[in-house]
Amino acid sequence: MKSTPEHIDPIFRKKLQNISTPPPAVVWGNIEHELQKRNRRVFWWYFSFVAAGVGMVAMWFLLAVDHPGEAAIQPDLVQTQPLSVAAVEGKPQPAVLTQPKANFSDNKIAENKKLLPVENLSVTSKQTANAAEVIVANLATVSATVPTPDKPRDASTAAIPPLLPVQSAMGFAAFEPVGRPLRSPMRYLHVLAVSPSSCMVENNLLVAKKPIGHCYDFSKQPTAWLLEAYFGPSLAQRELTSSPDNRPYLVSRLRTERRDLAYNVGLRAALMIKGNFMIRTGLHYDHLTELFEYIDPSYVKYLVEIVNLNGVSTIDTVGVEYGEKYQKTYNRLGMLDIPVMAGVELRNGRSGFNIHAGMSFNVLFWKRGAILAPDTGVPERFAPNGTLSVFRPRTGVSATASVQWFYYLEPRTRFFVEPYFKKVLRPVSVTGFPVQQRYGIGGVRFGCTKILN
Amino acid sequence: MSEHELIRGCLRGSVQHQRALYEQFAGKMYGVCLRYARNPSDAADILQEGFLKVYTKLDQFQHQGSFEGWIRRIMVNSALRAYQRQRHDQEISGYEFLPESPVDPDAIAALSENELLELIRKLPDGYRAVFNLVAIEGFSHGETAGMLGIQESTSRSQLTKARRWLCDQIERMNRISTVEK
Repeated sequence: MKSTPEHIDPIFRKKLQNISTPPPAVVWGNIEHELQKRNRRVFWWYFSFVAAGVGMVAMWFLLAVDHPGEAAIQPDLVQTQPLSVAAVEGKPQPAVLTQPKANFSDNKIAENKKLLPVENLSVTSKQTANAAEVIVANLATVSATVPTPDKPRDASTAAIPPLLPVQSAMGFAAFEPVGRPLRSPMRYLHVLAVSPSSCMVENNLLVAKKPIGHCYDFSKQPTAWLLEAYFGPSLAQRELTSSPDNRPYLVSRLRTERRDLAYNVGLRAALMIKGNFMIRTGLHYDHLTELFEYIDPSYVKYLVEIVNLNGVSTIDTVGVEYGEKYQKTYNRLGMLDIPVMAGVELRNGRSGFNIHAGMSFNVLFWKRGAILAPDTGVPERFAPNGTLSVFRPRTGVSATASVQWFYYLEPRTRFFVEPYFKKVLRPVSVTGFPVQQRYGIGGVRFGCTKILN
Repeated sequence: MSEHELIRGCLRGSVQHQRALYEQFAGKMYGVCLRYARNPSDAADILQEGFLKVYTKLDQFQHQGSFEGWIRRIMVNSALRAYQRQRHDQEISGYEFLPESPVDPDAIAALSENELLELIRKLPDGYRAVFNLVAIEGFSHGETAGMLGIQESTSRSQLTKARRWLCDQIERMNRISTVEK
């Protein structure tokens, strides 16, 4: 009995569905090699990331340190008084730290010459004579009104908690709050250069103070206009959706289009209110590029069929002539928006960050390029240069948010790095088009802010 | 080594576990790749790409279905990607005019697995993909059309042509074999 072609399926399925054939030995070698390569790549990515992080932190520290040359506090200001002593071996024990003769290295103190006054020292070691081991003093509430030699301590400053210079293993003096373990000397390096003329103290610990010449003082003028210009790379996340009926067209679109370079550029004004709150608006342009490549399936391919004596035939390709419809083009989309955003800014020394969120209104949607036509399946240029109506005239409203880190280059000029994300709320394709196209755009902006006041 | 241990080891990046996983599934998966590829060399490439994908996407395995089924699906997807990359000819004119020649089931049953595999490999790329997905894997024409980016009607027509071509080849082999006897 003969069977129809449909009946060959179960036979093939039964025999081939779970067929097991040993693969060539070389395959595992290739896989292992590729895995090692990827692991190395991942390692270098992590390494680069960590190195960049460490570099940024190191830069932060270096930039946070004031330059020497500010009003020096003489070492003889280090006062000695009887101490209320913290518990040592279970009971308090009075201790006295003698005048500069205290076993701090006089030379090193003299070198640094920027020690803060100390009184009412609290010492936790009974070996107070060995100052190298006395490493505790309270500076929790040091204010900006640190007395200088020409400005003696008055009643208002008398309550300033004491500080004790610390002789660290690295050989320079620093200060450490009572009850806290000694931290890295780098953390307090900048204390040595603290000066009454510095512009910012906003911490309960002694905070790095920047010379007034380096940052705009929003505490004096809390309302100010800022002008910002920026440029940077972007990454467009495109989302194509379709009904099940149009899925083949969707797949053919996905097969012929892929993401390429994108960038963003903009100019905007920001109004600072009450020193920390901001409102922004301006012009923002996102430029997206996608590569469209179509290989014409209707080309001529020359095949030969070789049949051996057993009747087994082999088909081989001897030549291909591609069709004339092969096309490769870069589709370009440009979105010019007016963002309106509100946010808050926090500053510390010469740097700080701000967070903004808001809406973005599209005023121009510029597009050039070609895609597969849904009805014919061949490349066609889309409007306005072509006939295919794919995109709406405007993209409409987008939701947008950004985080900016900035650094003062001059009192009224600052450089910033700003990651951002924008989501176009409606599809950019026309209603009724078989595939709906949506965009989310992420990127980084590098730019400058000028404070106009 | 249990399947769970294998997965955990691979997630840790242990080469020993990766090797064990490969050895456990490589044979079956190479069989899948051979069905979809034009030749053993392409099948080896697909197998390699598929296993790399398995190792990198292993954290996405939900432990809800068969692990082997999950790997098999990755292999099939890799094979389809390879097919779409080198997609040159969808149609070879002439096959649609082949007569609907009935074929003796015994003649097919007499063929070895390797002979059947050889026959499938000789199918034109489009036919082979559709025949594998519909006739052997059991996907519907709608699913197959979605995976290959073709119309459902194209999937049906290609399957018909593939069957006719296979029947024709089997008949031809059968005739030659009968004459030799």
